[in-house]
Amino acid sequence: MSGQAVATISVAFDGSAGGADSDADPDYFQDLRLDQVQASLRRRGRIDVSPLFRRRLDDVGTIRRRLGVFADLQRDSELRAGLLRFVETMERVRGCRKNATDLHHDHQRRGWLLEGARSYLRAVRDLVGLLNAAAELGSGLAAIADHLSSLQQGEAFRSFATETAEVDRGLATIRYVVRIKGLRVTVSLETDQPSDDGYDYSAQVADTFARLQQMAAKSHVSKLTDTTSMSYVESDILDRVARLDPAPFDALRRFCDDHTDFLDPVLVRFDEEVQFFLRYLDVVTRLSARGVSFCHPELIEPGDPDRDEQVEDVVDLALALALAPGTDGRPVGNDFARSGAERVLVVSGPNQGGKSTFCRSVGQLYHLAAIGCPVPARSARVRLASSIDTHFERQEESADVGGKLENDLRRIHAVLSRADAGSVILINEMFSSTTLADAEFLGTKIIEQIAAKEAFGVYVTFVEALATLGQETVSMVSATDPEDPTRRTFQVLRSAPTGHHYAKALAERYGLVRGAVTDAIEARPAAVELDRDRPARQGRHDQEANS
Amino acid sequence: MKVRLMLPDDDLDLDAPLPSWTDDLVVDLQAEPLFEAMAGGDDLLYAVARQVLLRPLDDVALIEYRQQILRDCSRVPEVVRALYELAGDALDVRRRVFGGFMRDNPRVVLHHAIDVLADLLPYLRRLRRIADEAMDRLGDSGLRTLFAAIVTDLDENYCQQVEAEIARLQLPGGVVIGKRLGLGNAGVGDVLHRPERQHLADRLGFGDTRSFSFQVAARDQAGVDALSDLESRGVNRVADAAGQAADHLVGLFRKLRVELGFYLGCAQLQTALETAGVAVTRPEPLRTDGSRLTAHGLYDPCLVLGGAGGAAARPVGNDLNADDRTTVVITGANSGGKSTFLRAVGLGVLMSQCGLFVCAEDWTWTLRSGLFTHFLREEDATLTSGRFDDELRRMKDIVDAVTPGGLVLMNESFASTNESEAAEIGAEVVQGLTRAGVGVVVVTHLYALADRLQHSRDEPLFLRAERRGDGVRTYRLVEAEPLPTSFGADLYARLSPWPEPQR
Repeated sequence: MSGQAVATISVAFDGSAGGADSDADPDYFQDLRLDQVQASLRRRGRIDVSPLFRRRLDDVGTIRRRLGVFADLQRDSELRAGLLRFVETMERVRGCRKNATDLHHDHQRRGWLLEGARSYLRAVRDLVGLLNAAAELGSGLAAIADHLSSLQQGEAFRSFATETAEVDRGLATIRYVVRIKGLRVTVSLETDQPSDDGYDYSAQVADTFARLQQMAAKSHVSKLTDTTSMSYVESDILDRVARLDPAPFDALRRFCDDHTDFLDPVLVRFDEEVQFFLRYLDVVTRLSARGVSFCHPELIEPGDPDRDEQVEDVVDLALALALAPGTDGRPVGNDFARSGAERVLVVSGPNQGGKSTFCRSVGQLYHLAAIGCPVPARSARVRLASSIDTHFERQEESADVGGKLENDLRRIHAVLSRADAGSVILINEMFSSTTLADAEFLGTKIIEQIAAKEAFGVYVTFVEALATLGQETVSMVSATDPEDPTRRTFQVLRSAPTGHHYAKALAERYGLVRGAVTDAIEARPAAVELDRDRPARQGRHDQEANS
Repeated sequence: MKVRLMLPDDDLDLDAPLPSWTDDLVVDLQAEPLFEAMAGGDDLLYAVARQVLLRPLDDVALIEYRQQILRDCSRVPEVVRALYELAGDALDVRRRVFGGFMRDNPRVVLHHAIDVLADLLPYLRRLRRIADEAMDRLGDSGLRTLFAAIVTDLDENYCQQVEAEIARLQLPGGVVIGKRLGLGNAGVGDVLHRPERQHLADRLGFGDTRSFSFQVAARDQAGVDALSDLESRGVNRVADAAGQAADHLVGLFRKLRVELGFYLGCAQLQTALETAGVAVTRPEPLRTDGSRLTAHGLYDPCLVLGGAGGAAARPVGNDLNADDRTTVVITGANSGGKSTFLRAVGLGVLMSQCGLFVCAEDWTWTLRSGLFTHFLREEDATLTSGRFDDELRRMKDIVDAVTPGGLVLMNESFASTNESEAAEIGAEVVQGLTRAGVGVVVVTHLYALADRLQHSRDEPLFLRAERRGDGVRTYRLVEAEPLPTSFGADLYARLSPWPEPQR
């Protein structure tokens, strides 16, 4: 890519040109399944936005700038659609320029450079129109709009556009005829120009057999791979076309000599960065359609006197993404809050009740807030995490209990040692393979230390005693349906309900009571047609021909 | 030219997915022997019978359309069979040549298409001759419309036109391809010129312009391949047109075979039933409003058609006078013919609403918008709680699918829980359904359920499996209110001795 010149205008960073990128995911990515969220932002063969996704920011100004870009895009769907088109067009520009470098035949290479130029011009023009049409852009996109206006009005850019159009017009009007008989090839220009179908033999064939038509026919057009490289027979033909009509080809050669590098470095950087926003918003849109709420988090800055944190209806983003496409529904959302001296959410309750999911969703939220993204919650007021650490029980680790316990303690020791008032620590079923007494003792110690550091912790445990240690703990329980304890609600609340299980209750759950049955049938919009083969169902004829 | 023997404006799509509840319907109604009798060992006929029977029509005009064709088919049974076999022969010829792996090479596609067209042309002519000869013997039905179209559209003049086109498709004069410049100046927009223009080029050259020629050496494999690739691109669209023409021709024979297959199956079923000496009736669907269902001598054909048992007993026919009843409740002795009768009703609906005859002395009905079954399943008695759950789930699926005017057949529903709960849930469901305009036929040995329904506002029709004074079952159902006892005791006695512990 050409952008060797440093582009100082950025939508992802405020002021500075951005810090050092890390190639590696943070340690907690796997436990929190942020690696899965990150994977959903990847596009095969496209720019990798992981560097922006994995690196937490410590600068509230940059976070605000990013949220400002998100706000612009969320407010204006036209703008978003337009930027998606811009990204696609820039991808195409890259592809064309690669062909223009990699291929061997001159007429062909130049043809691709011309196509790259056309695409680039289209990208710039569309982007200018798009940003000018958008109202009240935040500082990030406004800076890009300013830059583009001056670029487009420059003399160099304008003459580049004119030349591109002229050269293109000259080549587009050429029509020629290739005759192949045996091994002999004859090339000539088409002089009399009928409509394109005037000589078309396939129309005649279709006409002959029209009355036998049975169905929407399956296509027999072979998918011929269009390689960008030409066979020598094709390039021989092209050479002869150029000899028969040399002027347009000469104009193309001069154009290519004059314009080897036409990309603006600011646009190149913008193209890369804006994809981070667009892809994350793609996730937001998909999940919003299923009822997941997203909001812009309110960040508690160091020194802010009000340090209470409160989040409503947060879901596990990875889980929401993993629900099969096409199925309805969303993961159950949960609320949590801590105020005053409360430091640690101690989560207990039945297994498979959503405890781990809750823990992950909390951790994800702190990470997402710290990279300047909207978070999957209805509302969120949280600290800007200075560090995030996780300790999740993993099944495969449980071979050597003694060694494991020591390992666990070493790791948590390191975490606690470096923790500060901005830290977020997520612990899931630690010490589950030790004795209850040990688990209670060690758990108490750890919770006390998290509290002492004024860090924020989530501690998922089977030891219910830990939930009532004191004012620094908040007890939360994975709940079941009070009507039916066999049914898990996946909600994590502050109370532990109980209930009973009756056949009638079960039937009610299926809606099998008089009123519900009648309503379900009568509410159906129109009678389902059971009888007719709809004409719309034409796709299946493929098999008919062969079976 | 369209076949259209199943529906006046559409084809029968054998691959169309059946509704999700269809499998339950087949199992609960034990309908397999019916399909097998129609198929007579022919897999295609089996598939057709299954697809058509399990997709009841809810439009009187469509049912009459099929009934008319069925009548015409019985006028010329040998013609129906001859055409079915002709179509089969034609498709067999194709099956030998028509592989599935010819994609992505237009010249191969083209040659296959030419082969298919050339091979099937004689069958087209035979088809016309058979239709021509049979025309006079037909009444006014979709079958006559089809034969008329065959005779007109496939006249000899047209067949010769097709023959000539097949010859031109061989492209004896090489190819002439019009092109323009595309991306990277590659030649694109190929248009294969008509063969006439190839001859013109031979005589005159390409107008008055200059041209350049070159020759690829025969031993230059890369060059020969490149040339062949160019030619392939040039003929791609013609290959497409020819391939589609071939598909249409194959499709014609395929549809002919599938749709005639239904009527052939009907004939085979009728023969089987006549051989067994039982009556069938050709019902006329009522166009009146309201819910009518009256039948006399209704029996389950699958008992006659035997299946595994072989010893096909002469079935007991029963009457049903359920006009304007939303609910029919059948109670009485175990093994007294309750389930059999329920199945006979279900099959009667399926058969009458696909245009077929019905296994009864008479059958007078208004159309149902759909048929559903909810039968107790012995086989999923693995876990008691799981089984009840499964019953609820199946009922929920029915509630989600049924529409007003539908019919639900319930056989000992919810028997996997205790009697009082089963009765309560059963009554709730039945009343929920009837209030939405859905008809219900309930078989139950639970007095509690029958009693609840008796005192509902639905005023159900009660039928009872008859038992003579000596305890012998007659398999007849009589209109009678439920009795507060089951007949389990005498069934138990009949199966004695039991290995009971000695006192």
